[in-house]
Amino acid sequence: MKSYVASVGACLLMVFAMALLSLRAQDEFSDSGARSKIFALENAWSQASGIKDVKAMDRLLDSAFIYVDFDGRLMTKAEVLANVELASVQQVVTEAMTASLHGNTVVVTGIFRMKGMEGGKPYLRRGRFIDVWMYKNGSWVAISSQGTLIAR
Amino acid sequence: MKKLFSVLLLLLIVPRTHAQGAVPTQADESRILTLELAWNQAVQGKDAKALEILIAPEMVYVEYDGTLMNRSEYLASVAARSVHAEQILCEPMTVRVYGPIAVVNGVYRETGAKSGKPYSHRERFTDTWVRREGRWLCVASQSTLIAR
Repeated sequence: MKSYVASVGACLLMVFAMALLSLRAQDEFSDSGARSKIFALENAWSQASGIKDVKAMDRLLDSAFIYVDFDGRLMTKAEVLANVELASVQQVVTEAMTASLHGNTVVVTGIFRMKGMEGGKPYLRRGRFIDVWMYKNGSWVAISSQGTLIAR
Repeated sequence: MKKLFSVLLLLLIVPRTHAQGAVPTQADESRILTLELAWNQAVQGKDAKALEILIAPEMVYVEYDGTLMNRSEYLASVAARSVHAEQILCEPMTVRVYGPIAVVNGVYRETGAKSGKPYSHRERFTDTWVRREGRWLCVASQSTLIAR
């Protein structure tokens, strides 16, 4: 009898756990769930760029990530990470972000403001970006990013 | 001629029945590269019908000067009489296919005339395609001028 109760209990626990996982997965791909998660990740990325946190950026970018800089330069993930510490960027802020969900992929459009120092002179750049995020192995990673300066 | 091009394009983007659900990645890559070339041809010919077949309703487009456009704004910009793209030459492109998503990176050189003045741009682009009901549609496109 005890083993029967234990088996039923274990089954119920498993069903509960599966329901929780399913709810979590549903939330990941629900419009609002994915949007808020991705916007938070975009802000984390900007912050990581500003404070030159290579480890945080490593977690955010897919291994096959490709980046196109505002001057048209193409970089792989390794090149982006190698460039983080050398970059003259001091602060990156994103704004006016919109996202569209396509299954396990989200396309984000927004504006970035980048402050830094180059050759001893401060600069402020404002550009438009499109980032593509994908849900892989239980987490969201960026697979592509491009920036274009906004003509004044 | 434009109508013929649109029909050919439609035949190209709708996969054959036997291939549905089991299209190998390499086939997707070559299909997408062909669609990219068809897109350039459609822009040069100001072929709005062909472009409508290639672009998803929710497509976002970022022009080389940072202008953000939706699908209808983009189609209107291509149709604009003040801009005429005479030649668009693509350099080798790379395609990464993630199941129903594909990301294309490439460089193209566009020469033409805007408000009567000649221009020549070399731009790097990223296009994001989504496979929907067996068709590949572009959902995002962005270009950035390559600094000389």
